[in-house]
Amino acid sequence: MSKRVSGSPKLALLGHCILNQNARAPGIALHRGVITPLMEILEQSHYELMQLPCPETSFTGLARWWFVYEQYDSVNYRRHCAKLARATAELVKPYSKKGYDIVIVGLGISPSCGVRMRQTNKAWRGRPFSVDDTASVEDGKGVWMQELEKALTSVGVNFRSLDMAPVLLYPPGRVPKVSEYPSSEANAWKELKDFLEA
Amino acid sequence: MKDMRSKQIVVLEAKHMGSDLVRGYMHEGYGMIQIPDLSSLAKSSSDYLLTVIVDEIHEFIKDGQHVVVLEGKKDLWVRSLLFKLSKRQLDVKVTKIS
Repeated sequence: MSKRVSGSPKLALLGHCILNQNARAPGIALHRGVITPLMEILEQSHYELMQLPCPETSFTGLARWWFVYEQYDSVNYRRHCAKLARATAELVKPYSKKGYDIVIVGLGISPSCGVRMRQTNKAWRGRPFSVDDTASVEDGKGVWMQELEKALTSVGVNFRSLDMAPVLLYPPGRVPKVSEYPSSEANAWKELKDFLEA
Repeated sequence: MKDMRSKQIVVLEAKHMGSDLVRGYMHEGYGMIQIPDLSSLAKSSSDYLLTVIVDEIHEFIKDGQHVVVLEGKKDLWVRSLLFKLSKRQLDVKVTKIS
């Protein structure tokens, strides 16, 4: 990835599955490997990239259900995220000291990586049962984003954050109709581009 | 529901991002795991982050995914990663790069 020629250098902290869709729970990936249109925007905007670890994969593996926030909001998962976040923040700190403009790109409605909203369901527990494709969501960040932002702030790293709109990440039936996110792909890409070029 | 995941992953040090070789993997549908430059960290932190990457790769292999590791001559973090993988007897394809 090329460096910016003039102005502040830029660093993008990317939710793991932006570069690796193979980390997603089975049945919801819209892309094969890398979300290439986003890579093109990042390259055009002269970002250096840092892929964040995937706390879901290292904690629960790949044979996981479509979890919701309530399932990941456990003491041990949060501890896992907090430890990862502290190490990641130490890695990011030197960039901050060098004057980098730092952004986080999360994954909309993810119970871990959501920035604006996260999937929620108070009834998902006990005996497994069939669920429809519609995602139930609420305002708030995912567990990983909460812990990461806390750790970055604690070491004095300034950053901006945005999550990719669900329309770019999920099959149509699983995209919630909410005003927090753009509903069309074109508007969602424009939102990301505007954020990254700001 | 259709599963679009390619189940193919290439692992590389961050400095190789943007190279033609890596672009080739990207356009073939490979996912990427990037090993950041960990040299600014204390040894315990760099070892911890590298172990988490090994944990992720372990899970991908358990899931039947194909993992390729790119190894350049000066890729010290990749060398440490391969050592950790071999200790767990995890089988990955290693491709030497210049």
